[in-house]
Amino acid sequence: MSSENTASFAESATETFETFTEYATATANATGNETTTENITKSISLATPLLYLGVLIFTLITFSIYHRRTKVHQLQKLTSSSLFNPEYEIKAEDVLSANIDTPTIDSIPALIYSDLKELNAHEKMLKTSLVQRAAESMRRIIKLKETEPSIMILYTKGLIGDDSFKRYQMQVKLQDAEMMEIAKEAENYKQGWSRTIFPIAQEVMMNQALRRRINSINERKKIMENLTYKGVENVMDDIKARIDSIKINIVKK
Amino acid sequence: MSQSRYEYDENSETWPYFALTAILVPLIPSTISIISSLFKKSNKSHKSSFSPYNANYLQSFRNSQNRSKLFNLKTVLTIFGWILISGLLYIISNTETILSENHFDPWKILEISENATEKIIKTAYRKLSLKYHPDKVDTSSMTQEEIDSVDAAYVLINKAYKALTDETVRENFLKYGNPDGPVEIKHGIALPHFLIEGAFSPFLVVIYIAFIAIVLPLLVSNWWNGVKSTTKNGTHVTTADHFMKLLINASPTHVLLVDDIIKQVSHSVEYLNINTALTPDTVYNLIVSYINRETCKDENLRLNVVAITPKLLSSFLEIAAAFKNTDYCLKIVDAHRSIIQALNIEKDAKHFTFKEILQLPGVDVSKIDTNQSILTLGKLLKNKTVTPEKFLNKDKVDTIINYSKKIPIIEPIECKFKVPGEDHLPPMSAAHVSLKFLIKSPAHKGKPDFKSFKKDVINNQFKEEQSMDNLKDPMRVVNLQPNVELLSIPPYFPDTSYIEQNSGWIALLVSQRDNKIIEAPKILNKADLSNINLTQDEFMESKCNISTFKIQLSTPTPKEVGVYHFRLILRNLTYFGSDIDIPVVMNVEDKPIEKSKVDVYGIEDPDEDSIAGAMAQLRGESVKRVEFKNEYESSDDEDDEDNDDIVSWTDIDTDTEVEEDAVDSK
Repeated sequence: MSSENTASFAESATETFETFTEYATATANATGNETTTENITKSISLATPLLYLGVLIFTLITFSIYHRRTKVHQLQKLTSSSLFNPEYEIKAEDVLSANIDTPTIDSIPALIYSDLKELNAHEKMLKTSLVQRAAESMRRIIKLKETEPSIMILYTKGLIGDDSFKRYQMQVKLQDAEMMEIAKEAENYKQGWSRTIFPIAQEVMMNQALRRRINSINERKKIMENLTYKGVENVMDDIKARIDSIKINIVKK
Repeated sequence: MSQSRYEYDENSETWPYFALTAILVPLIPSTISIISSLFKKSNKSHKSSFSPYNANYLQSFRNSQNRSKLFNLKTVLTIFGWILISGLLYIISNTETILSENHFDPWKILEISENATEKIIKTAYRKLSLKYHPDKVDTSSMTQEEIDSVDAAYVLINKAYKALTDETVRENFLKYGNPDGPVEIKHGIALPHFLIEGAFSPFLVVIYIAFIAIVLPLLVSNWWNGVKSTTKNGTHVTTADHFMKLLINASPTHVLLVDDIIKQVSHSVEYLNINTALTPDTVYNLIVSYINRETCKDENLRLNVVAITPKLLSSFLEIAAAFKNTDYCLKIVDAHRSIIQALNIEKDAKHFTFKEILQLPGVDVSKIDTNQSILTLGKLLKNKTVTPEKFLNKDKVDTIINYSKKIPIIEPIECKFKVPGEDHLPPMSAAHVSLKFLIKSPAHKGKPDFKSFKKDVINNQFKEEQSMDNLKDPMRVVNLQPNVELLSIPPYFPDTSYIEQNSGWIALLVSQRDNKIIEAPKILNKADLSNINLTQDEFMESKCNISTFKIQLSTPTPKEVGVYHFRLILRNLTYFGSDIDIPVVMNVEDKPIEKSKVDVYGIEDPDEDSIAGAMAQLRGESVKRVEFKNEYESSDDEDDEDNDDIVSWTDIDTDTEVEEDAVDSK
């Protein structure tokens, strides 16, 4: 039934095509100055439109595959260097071999956590490590929030490239995915922990930040001393003495 | 198609004009720019008697730079363009303009001059019509063609006569250039016929295809890639990305040093354009050895590396300012100056404390008497405890003294927020910071009494004219001032034209509350430098000119009425010791007040022997800030309301140990 139909359809199609070509040649003959009355009527086989369709679909598929691949490649290239710790470079082969289930492969606490998990470490250890991982994630999210207006300014002013901006946006997404991952892991240990782990992680984060600042005080002091005092003690002491004398004068007044 | 109605340019009448226009459009601007650059350069020549250790290399670097400026592709193309133009002009002058037969010129047809009287026209017409009348011409021995041409000639003569005498025909002629009324518009191709339809037509098609399919896409993609790979301020996107990452990760715990900045900037990909073998480490080593003033094996390479570094630093600065990171910005400016002066200010405390003296050409760190507390230029020139000869341990110090006298110093007179046309700051208004200042030499003591300024200086330069132009564009006053031109050029930096173009002060407006930059950095590069050459007496009698600097705020003043405190930080891009920090108060009020407030936070220079001066010396560059705090204390009596605010922010502002000392010592 259907084959008949198609056959008749094809027939009628060729017919119409023939009439059309006849008409075309007729008009050509009528209008053309040269009087070549060669009949160019030629029937076209059914394969032609199918071939056309085939070629079209093939090209579209090839293009889409190619396009997807380049897109993935571009994304990989974008994330190949970490946004947060420029000194720390992750090699792709290391990551692939370790089978890590974190979206942020440049986060050291996340790597430690997954390593511990692989080693079947004690649960307490794993929990602490997860809190650490959450704290690092929190720090990054806060950093990203903090720098968002600056990045927007830079991007709108054209002071950074498109890729840098895309990289930044991607990091925001990765960080969100990391949070989800942490929440999922937390839920595995104890139901409802995913709700309390983040406040705890925030406290840990604040504590770490404070510690970093306190620990740096001595170092800062040393650097400043080297820069402003060592070697020019005479001059500095002289100035200090003068300040002190003036201070005493003021107090006396 | 081939029987086209188009006319071709067979006699090459049109295409030379077309080509002439096409060439002249880009040629004239480029010629003007080349000529103006030639004039600009010839104006200046800075010669100093001091020659640095690498003087030969510096000289050859500068020479090659000048040469490359003069003999580059642009100049060659311009010269070639002018040769083409002369060729075209020659062609044009040699081609006779053959007007097409359609062109109608009644006077020519009648063989009379254009100012002929009616009588002459009539006689000429009669004479010609007699000659060409179809009945009068003997057509017996003529071919059909000849007969036709005679007929046509007679018709033309008639037409011409009518065009000059008949009213309506004349009007038609004047309006449309044809006695028959409007003519159809003709289209022509400014190419000869053979190029389009002859044997050469494939050639033309190839040219077209090459242009549209190859050259145009190449140009566009080139341009687009260029746009994509460089940022607005001309740095490579990779470099900008690197700077961005650095600032995202900027650690508040780390004491930022010039060394860190150099290390960070050495990762820029721009250095690879100089030499692809340059690694960040080698770049870093080259720059450090340059600021340490050490000799180097490959001096040329080093000079090339150093010459582009300040540009990278300025784009770094812009990115740092977008992150509102004041520490980074100030350190980048320090690094910039270190490179311009070839002075490693953080090598040790000696370099750091004596940096203002060490930047002077010919001063040797190993020779100066570091027991003398001559830390600033002012101290060296004015309140010297020992003679400069003794202090610098040199026989001839004249050139050094002269050099240092020409370093411009900012002496602020008034600094406040202003809204054009208002005498107070309404909420949500577009305000700008206005700084009125004097440029003085370090040798000038104190500052002239306000009353002693000349009247027209006060009226024109201090108080701005309330004209419509000034109110509409507050920046106009600033832009009308001359550019800052340095009178003494630092000898070490290879690219002198960079220094000349980028001399001035970088201005950062910082919030006192959290020490964050609130406005993108602006450069103060327009000021009147004439005061530098005044003698001390002239300076005090005040023959000085007042300069103005303004920063337009991009955000409106806050909604809430209140007092907001800011600090205007000015850092010289070239010299040490010409910096200043000025507190500015934004007093947002809702209702207009009758009497405009006198600027209670008047700014005065710290006297070198006063407590402020002493503290300033202790703290190095932040000379004026301490002074201002004193000012605030004295102003507290006058204005008790502001007392709390001031205390709160002066306490916050203790970034480093040294500054803490300074504050404590009060």
